Order: sequence, then C-alpha cells, then structure tokens
Amino acid sequence: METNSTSYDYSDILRAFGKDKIEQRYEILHEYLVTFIKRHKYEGKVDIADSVLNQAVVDYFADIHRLKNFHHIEAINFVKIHAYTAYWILRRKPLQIIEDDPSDLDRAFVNERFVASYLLQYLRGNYTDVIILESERPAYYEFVKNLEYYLRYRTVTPQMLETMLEAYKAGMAFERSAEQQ
Amino acid sequence: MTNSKESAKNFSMLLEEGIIRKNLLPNTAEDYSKVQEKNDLAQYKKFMQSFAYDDIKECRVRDYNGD
Repeated sequence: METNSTSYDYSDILRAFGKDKIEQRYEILHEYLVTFIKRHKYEGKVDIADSVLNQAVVDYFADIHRLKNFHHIEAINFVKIHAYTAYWILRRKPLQIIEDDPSDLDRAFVNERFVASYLLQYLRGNYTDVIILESERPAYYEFVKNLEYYLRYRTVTPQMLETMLEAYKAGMAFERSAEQQ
Repeated sequence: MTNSKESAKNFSMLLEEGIIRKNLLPNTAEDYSKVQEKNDLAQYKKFMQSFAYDDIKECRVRDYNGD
C-alpha cells in the first residue's frame, strides 16, 4: 500500500545507535534464546525465527530512540533496557513452535516463559544460584507464578514492566535496610 | 468559569515562557552495551544451569482466583 512516507528504512536508528551496538544486542539476545531452548530441551521443537527477532530488535531500538529524543538523554538505565527488551520479545514472539504438542501448555507460552526467565535473572543479578529459603518459598513462587500469569494473560506495557522491576529492587533495598535496624 | 480565549492565551504564555516544563529523565546511565550486557548474558547462562532454576522451571502458572 502506498503512503506519503518518504522513507521506509531504519537509517536513523542505525545512525543513532551505531551498527556495532545493534549487532551486539541482536547476537546477545539470540544467545539468550539459544540458552533457553537448550535448558528446556526444546531443540527440534522450538526454534528462533530470525525474521521475528529482527523485528523485535528494530522495534526495541525505534522505541528507545523516541524515548531518548524526548528526554534528550544519551543512555537509558538498565531497568528500562530490560523492560523494553522484554516487552518487544513478548510482543513479537521470536520463539516459534516447529514441533507441536497440544498437551504441552508451556510450549504454547514459550515466549512468555523465556521473558519470565530473562526478567527473573535480571532481578537476581549476581545471585544467580540462590535457592529460596523453605519459609520464603510461598511468597517467592507466588511472585514467579503471578509474573507468568501476567505475561500470558494481562495487558503488558514496558512501563508496567519497568515499574515491576523498580518495585522489586526497592523491596530488596527496604529489606536490606530493615535488617540493619 | 474562566474565559476560553483568556485561558488559551494564558496557556500559550506559560508555554512560551517555559513555565510549563517537561519532566525529563536523568541523563546519568552508563552505556549498557559496554559495561553490563555481556555480564548479564553470562549470569543468565549460569542461572539457567542452576538448581535455583530447576524449581522455577517447575513453577506452574498461577491459577486465576479472581483477586
């Protein structure tokens, strides 16, 4: 369909961020997805659709580009990076089922599961292998379940994800402060 | 009630004089690609191999209970 737009390419995004940064982000996101596929033994069942990942990455950078222009900032904070990345992965869904199993509901929501793992690890930071205390498991796992529910069924926005991440970090800061008093 | 024309003029004056302002985000973040991106991926790989993720992996989605 013809429109009045004079340009369809993303040269402004390339100019603003540089080829290296965009390529690195793509490669790293691809590696995240490969790691997830292997961990869940989804080889041959779920694959990465490069065409969809291409779109997720370009949409992410276009979104961030608008944000940076509006606020006149050079670099956005890491929470925003994770919230916006999670949002665009969720919106585009680069993990595609290549061998279906109608009885496997987790596979149907494979992108949501990936995003949950991506955000949960970001919140853990250096504490990748911390096992949650028995007494704290109900609260922590309720959060994990709720996050998955939200990613699957609720209306997700990058701003809501950002607020969730900030709230979690604030909760940790509060907990640390409370322990000192 | 205020006069529409006067309110519009007042609004325009506030804009011109910079009294109505944008609340800008702070421009203090580091370059993620340079300082943290690869580290985050390494941590993700470690997390995915951890016993901690075994439990999370088995965590079923929450049943909707009308909360």
